[in-house]
Amino acid sequence: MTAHAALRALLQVALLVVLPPLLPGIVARVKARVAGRQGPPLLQLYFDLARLVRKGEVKSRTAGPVFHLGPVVGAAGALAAGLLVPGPGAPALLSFPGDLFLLTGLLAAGRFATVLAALDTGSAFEGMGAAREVTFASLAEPALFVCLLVLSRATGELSLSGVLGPALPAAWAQWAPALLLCAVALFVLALAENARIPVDDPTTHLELTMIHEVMVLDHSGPDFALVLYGAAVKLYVFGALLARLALGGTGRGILPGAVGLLAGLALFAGAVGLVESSMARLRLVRVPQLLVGAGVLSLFAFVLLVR
Amino acid sequence: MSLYIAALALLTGGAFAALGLSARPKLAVAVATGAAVLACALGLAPSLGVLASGGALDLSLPWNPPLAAFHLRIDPLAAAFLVPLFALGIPASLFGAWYLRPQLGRRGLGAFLCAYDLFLATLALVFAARDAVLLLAAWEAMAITSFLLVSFDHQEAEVRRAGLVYLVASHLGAAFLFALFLLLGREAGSFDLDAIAAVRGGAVAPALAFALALVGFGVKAGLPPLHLWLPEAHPAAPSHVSAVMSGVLVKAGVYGILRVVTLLPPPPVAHGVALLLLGLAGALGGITLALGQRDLKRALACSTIENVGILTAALGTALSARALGSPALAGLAALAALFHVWNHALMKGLAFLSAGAVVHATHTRDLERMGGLWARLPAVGALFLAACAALSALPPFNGFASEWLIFTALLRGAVSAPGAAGLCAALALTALALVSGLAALAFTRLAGVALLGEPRSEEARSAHAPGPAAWGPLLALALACLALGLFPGAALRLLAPAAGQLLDLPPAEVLASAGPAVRLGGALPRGVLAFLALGLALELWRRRQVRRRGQARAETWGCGFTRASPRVQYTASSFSQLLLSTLAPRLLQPRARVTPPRGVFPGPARFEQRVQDPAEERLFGPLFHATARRFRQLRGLQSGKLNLQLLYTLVTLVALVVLLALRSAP
Amino acid sequence: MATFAQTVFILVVMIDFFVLASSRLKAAIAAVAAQGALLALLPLLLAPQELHVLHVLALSLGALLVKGIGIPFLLRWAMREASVSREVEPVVGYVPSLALGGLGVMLAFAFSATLPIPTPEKHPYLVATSLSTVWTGLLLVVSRQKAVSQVLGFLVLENGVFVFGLLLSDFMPWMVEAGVLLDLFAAVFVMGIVIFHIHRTFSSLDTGKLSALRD
Repeated sequence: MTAHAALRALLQVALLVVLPPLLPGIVARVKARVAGRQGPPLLQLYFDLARLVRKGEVKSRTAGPVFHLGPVVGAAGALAAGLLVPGPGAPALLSFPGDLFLLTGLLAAGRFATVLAALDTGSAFEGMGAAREVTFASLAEPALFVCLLVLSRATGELSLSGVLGPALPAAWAQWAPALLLCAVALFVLALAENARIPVDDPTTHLELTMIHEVMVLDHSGPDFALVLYGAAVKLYVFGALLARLALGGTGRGILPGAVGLLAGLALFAGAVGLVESSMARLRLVRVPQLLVGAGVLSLFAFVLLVR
Repeated sequence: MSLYIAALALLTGGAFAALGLSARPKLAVAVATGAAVLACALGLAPSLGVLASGGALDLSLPWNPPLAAFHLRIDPLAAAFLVPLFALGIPASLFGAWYLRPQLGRRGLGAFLCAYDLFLATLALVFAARDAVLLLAAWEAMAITSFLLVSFDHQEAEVRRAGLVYLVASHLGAAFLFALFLLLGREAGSFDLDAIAAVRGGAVAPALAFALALVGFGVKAGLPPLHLWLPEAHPAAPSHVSAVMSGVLVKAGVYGILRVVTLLPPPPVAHGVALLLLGLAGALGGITLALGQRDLKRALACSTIENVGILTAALGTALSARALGSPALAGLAALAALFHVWNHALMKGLAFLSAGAVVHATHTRDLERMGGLWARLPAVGALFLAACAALSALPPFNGFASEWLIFTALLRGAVSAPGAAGLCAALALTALALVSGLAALAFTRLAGVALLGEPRSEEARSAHAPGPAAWGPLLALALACLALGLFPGAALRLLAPAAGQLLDLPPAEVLASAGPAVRLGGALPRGVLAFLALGLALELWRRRQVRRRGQARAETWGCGFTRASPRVQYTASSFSQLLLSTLAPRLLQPRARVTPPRGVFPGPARFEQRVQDPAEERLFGPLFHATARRFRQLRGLQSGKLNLQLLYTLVTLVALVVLLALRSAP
Repeated sequence: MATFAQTVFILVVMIDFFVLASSRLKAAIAAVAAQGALLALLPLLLAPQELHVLHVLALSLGALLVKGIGIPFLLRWAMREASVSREVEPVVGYVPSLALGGLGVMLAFAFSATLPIPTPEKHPYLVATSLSTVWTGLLLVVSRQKAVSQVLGFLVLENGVFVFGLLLSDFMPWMVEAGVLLDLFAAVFVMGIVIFHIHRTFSSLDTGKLSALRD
C-alpha cells in the first residue's frame, strides 16, 4: 500500500467515525430556523455523547446480556456498513460485486439486535416499538433492494463503489428519469430507516406513537451513547449514498471529492430538516403505503431501464 | 465405498441390537446412539472424499428381487446431500441420547431406537441408490421408519393425527413416483438409473416426467400446496427426529427432483420458471404461516417450508439461466442452492435441537407460556438465539452467506438479462428480500418472546438449565454455522462438482462463477470479520466504561405506570399482529373472535385467534371430504364374508386375463 | 422535445400510483386534474408535422378544459354536495391495490413493445402509459366503494384511452378525439346523475347500498 492510499484510507475512516454526529445537528438547526428559533448548537450531539460516556448506567432488573447486544451490534453494524460506502473521490475501503447485500445484511443485524434488546426489558411499550420496527423494515428492505438494483442496472456495475463511481455520470445522462425516481425512493427509505418524520418522530415523548425511540427507552449511559452514535452513523451511510447519487459521483481526487461529499451531506441533512418541518407524522396504518409506494416507484424505475 | 457400506451395516446392526436390548433401556440407548454416531463419522469420510475429488464411487451387489439391482453410486450430487445427513446425524443422535433419558422406562423405546437407526440408514440409501426399484424401496422404508418416529408419543391424539397426515401424504407422493419410474423404466428397458439416463427419458414427455417428479418428490420437500404434513409432523416428533427430518428428510425431496433432472434432457425455461414460482410461493407462504404460530416447533416447521422455497427458487433460477444460455449465472445459482441445503441442515438442526432443550425444560411448546428463559438456561438460550440469527440470514452466520450468494445470482441476472428475464429476476429478488424481512420478524418474535423479558408462566419461571450433555452437541452445530458463515469458500469448493454435475459444467467454471469475494480471505469474509471485530471492540469498551462508572439496577421504565407485571409484555400474537392483520392477504390472516370489554365496570373479555392454512382449508380439506363421501357409497361392497372377497379377486383376475387376451389379439 | 414527452409520460404514471394510494378524495381529484392537464400537453408534443396547427391546438385546449378544469370542478362540487371527503373502506386495501397497480404497470411497460400495433410508434412510452393508465382506472373502479371515487377511476380510465387515441389520431383525426371527449362527457353525465340519485335516496354515496334495489 502506498503512502497516498494509506492516507486516503485514513481520511475515509476518520470521516466515517467523526462526521456522523454532525448530521442530526444540521437537521435540528434547519428545523429550528424554519420554526423561527435559534436552535441548539450544531455540535450538540457531540456534547451529548461526551456527557453520556462519562455517566454510569441504570439497567432494568428484567434485562440480561441481550440488552447490551442492541447498542453494540447496532453501532458495529452501522460502522461496518460505512466501510462499504464509497469515500470522497475514491472507492470504498471494502468493495466487491454484491457488497450492497452485505450492507443491507449488516443494517439488518443491527436492527435484529436492537429489537431483541427492546424485548429483553419486558416492557409493553418497547415490545410495541420493536414489533413496528421489524414490520416496517420488512417492507422497506425490498424497496431498498430494488433501488440498489436500479443503480446497478443503470451503470452495469455490481458493487456500491462501481455503481456510485465513474460510471454514474454517463448513467445520469442516459437514464435521468429512472435515476431521479430511484433517488426519490431512496430518500423516502432513508427517512424510514432512520426513523425520521413521515414515518416516525424522533422528538415526541408520547411513547404510543413512536417506533425507534420507544425501543431504546431503557438504555442509559454508554449504552445510550452507542445507540445515538449508531443512529447517526446510519444516517451518514444513507446520506453519503444519496449525496454520491445526486451529485453524479463525486469528482476526481480527494479534495474535490471531500468538498462534494460534505456539501452533499449538508444538503441531505437540510432536506431531512425541511421535510421534518413541513410534514406531519403519518398515521401508523399509512406507513406501509409509503414504503410500498417507494418500492413500486423504484420497480417502475427498473422497468424504464429494462425497456 | 467400503466405509459407506460399513456405515450402513453399522446402522442396521445397531438398530436390531437396540431392539434386542429393549429389556435394558440404558444399554439400548447407548448402543443405538453409539452405532449412529460411529456410522455417521464413517459415512462422512467417503462423501467428503467424493466431493473433494469430484469423482464417483460405484458398487453393485447381487440382489434377488425381480427387476431390481442393488446398485449404489455416490456421485457428487449424492455426496452433497449425504454430507449434511451424516454431519447433522452426529449431534442429533447425541442430543437424542440425552433427550430420551426421562423416557428410559417406557415401552416401545427399543422399537423407537431401532426405527431411528434404520431411518438414518434408509436416508443414506435413498441418496446413494442408483437403481429405481432400490430407490423406491428405500424411499418407502424411509417413510415408514419416519412415521414410526413421528408417532413416538402416540398416547396423544394430536400426535396420532400428525402421524396419519404424514403417512397419507408420503404415500400419495410415492404413488406419483411409482408412475414416474414405471414410465421411465419402460422406455429404458431397465430400472437402472444409468440406463434411464442413457436414453434421456426416451419417449416420455419431459414435461410429464418433470411434473410427476415435482408432485411425488415435492410432497417430501414441502413445496406448496403439498406442505401440509410439515407443520403437523415436526412438532409431534421428538426434537432430534424433527431436526433430522427438517434438515435432511425434506431435502431428500429436493434431491429427488434434481436427480430426475439429471436423468432427463436439459430442461426448458418453463421448468425452471415453474420451480422458481413454486419456490417463491413456498417461501412467502411458509414465512407468513410461521408468523402466526404459537407453537415454537410448528413455527420452525413453517420456516422449513420457507427455506426449501428459497433454495427451490435458486434452483429454478439455475435451470432457467442454463436454458437461456448463461452458464455462469446458472452455476452460481446452483452452487448457492446446494450451499443453502447444507446451511439449512445445520441451522435448522440447531434450531430444532435447542427448541427441544427449551421444551424439555419448560414442558410446553406454547410461546405464550415461555419468556425469561435466557436467565434460566443461558447456554441453550444463546444457542437458540444463534440459530434464529442464522435463519434470519444475518452476518456472521451461514444463512447470510448462502442468501448472499442467491441474491448475488439474481442481481447478476437482473442487471444483465434482457427484457422479461431481467424483470423476472428483479421481481424474484424483491420477493426474496420481502421473505428475508419477514424472516427477521418471525425470528425476533420466536427468540424475543421465548427467551427474553419476564417468564410468562409458572413452568417458565421454574425451568432448570440442562447440563453440557444437552448443549454440547448444539455448540458444535453453532460453531459449524459460524465457520460456514465466515469461510464459505471451503464449502463452495466442495459443492462445485455437484453443481457442475447438475448443469453439465466443469466444476472449475462453477467455482469461478462465485467470484473471488467469497474465497478464504476474500472481501465478503473480510467485511463480516470487520463487523465482528468492531462489535467486539465496542463491547469491550462498553464493559470497561460500565466497570469504571458503575451500574445501578432498577425496574423497567413503565412510562409512568408503576404496577408492571409479566402479563403486560408484548405477546407473540401481538408481535406479528400488525403485519398479519393489516398487510397479509386475507387468505392468510388469522381468524379472530373478540368479545371486547364493555361498560363502565367491564365484565370478562375474550380474544380468540386461529391461524388457518389456506391449502388445508380451501384445497385438501374439501377434496378429502368429497372423496371420503364418494367412497362411503362403496362401502356396501364390503360385507366381511370371506367367499365374497374371494369372488371379487376371481372376477378381477378373469377381467384382467380377458383384457390381456383382447389386447394381444390382432 | 422527446425527453420532455418522456417526462410527461412518467409523470402520468406517477399520478396513477398516487391516485391508487390516496384516500383523500380532494387530493385524488387534484391529481387527476393534473393528469388531465399533462395529457393536454401531449398532442402538442407528439403532433406530426403535416397536421394542422389549429387542429392540434384545439385538441389540446379541449382536453385541458374538459379533463383539467371542467370535470374536476364538477367532481369537487359533487364532493361538497354529498359531503364525503375520503374513501372509507375500499374493497381492496390501499397497499394491495398499489402493489397490483405497480405489477400492472410493470407488465405494461415490459410487454407493450411486443404488442402487434398496426401504426408506427410515436413514442416508446405511449402504448405502455396508456395501458397502465387504463389498468389503474379499472382497478379504481373495481376496488372503491364511494361513487365519487368510482367516477374518478372512470376518468383515469378515459385518460388512458385518450393517450391511446393519440396513437390513432393521424389516421382518423377528428373521429377519435370527438369520440373520446363525447364518451367522457356522457359518462360524467350519467355518473353525476347516479351520484345525485344515490344521495337523494340513501343519503350516502356508498354504491354497495345500491344492491338493496334488486328484486
